[in-house]
Amino acid sequence: MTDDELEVWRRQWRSQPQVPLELIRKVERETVNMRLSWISQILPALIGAATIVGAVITQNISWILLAGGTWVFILIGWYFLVQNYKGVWEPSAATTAAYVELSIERCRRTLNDIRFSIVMMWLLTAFVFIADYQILKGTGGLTTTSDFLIVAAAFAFATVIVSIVFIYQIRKRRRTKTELEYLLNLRAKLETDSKM
Amino acid sequence: MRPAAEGRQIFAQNKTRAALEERFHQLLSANGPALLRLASSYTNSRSDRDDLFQDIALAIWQALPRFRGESSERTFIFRIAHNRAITFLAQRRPVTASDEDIEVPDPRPNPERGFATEQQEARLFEAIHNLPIDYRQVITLTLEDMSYTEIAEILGISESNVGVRLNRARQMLRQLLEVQK
Repeated sequence: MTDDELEVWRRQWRSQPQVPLELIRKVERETVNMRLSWISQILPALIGAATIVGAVITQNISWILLAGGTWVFILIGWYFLVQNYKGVWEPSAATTAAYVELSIERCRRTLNDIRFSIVMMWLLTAFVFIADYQILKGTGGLTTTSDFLIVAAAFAFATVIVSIVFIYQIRKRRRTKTELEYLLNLRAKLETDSKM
Repeated sequence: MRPAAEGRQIFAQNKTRAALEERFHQLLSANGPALLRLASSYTNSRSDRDDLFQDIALAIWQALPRFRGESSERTFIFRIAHNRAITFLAQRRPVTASDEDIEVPDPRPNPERGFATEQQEARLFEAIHNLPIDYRQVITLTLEDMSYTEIAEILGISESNVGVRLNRARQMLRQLLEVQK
């Protein structure tokens, strides 16, 4: 029974892994944020519900298309969220290596998330603009010049908001890339140190 | 009951309780790290691991007065620990942890332990986590230096069954470690 393989495993098993506290805190903070990102999905669900209510009340084809389209976007978003954060909820073990690996993987997933969010955000904005325009046109909400001006102003305002979110996403992407670079360097450094 | 007799009874009870407490602390300090490792083989979450460890300690404390020495104390507490762990798995909720949950005994990384070593350990922990429960139990107890007889007693299976499970566990562990490389 006392073969080498078992002895090696025994030694590894009995070692008490020590993970730097800051690293644990960082990972746990990220976990909380990931959970919050799920809670924030209540907002699109509410918007989706509102479009359904609108479609039911008006029985208008444009409203029905708006509701259907909105839910397609929401479901795609949720599917992506589930897939993107699969397997990165907790470290594989309580070791520095596992925590660093998890942080690196989370950075990569965040970059995917940002890329996806930017594309979806502009597509959704364009879709909502077109659908709203069709609804207003169909219900006679765009008859006078002032109607057009008000709608144009509302669209411009929405575009400004989306652009601000876009800039925020770009900055977040830059920050995440810097963090990923730091973590990759840290991993390389730790690997080098352990070989010395 | 007369006051003097009552007093003697309370004194005797307190003495027994004090002896039990001392025994309990001795057991925990001697087997604490092994029990913590056992708890960590059932969950990846630190807070869950700590909860399970507390559950195990409580179960040992409650069972200690009933210990009659039919088996060794080590076997006795590991049997309790495994039973608690199985109950824990059955009741397991999704992992949650907040900043408040984090308590690390010593936050400083140990400079003598290399990153590569930690990676190997992480791989072993992960591989053990991925083993089916029957094999996981046998391999973790083996890694805690338990004999076939002790493992058989703890898990309530025959010694030959321990041998069979251990062989399969080792094979699977080898394969899992190979895949992780």
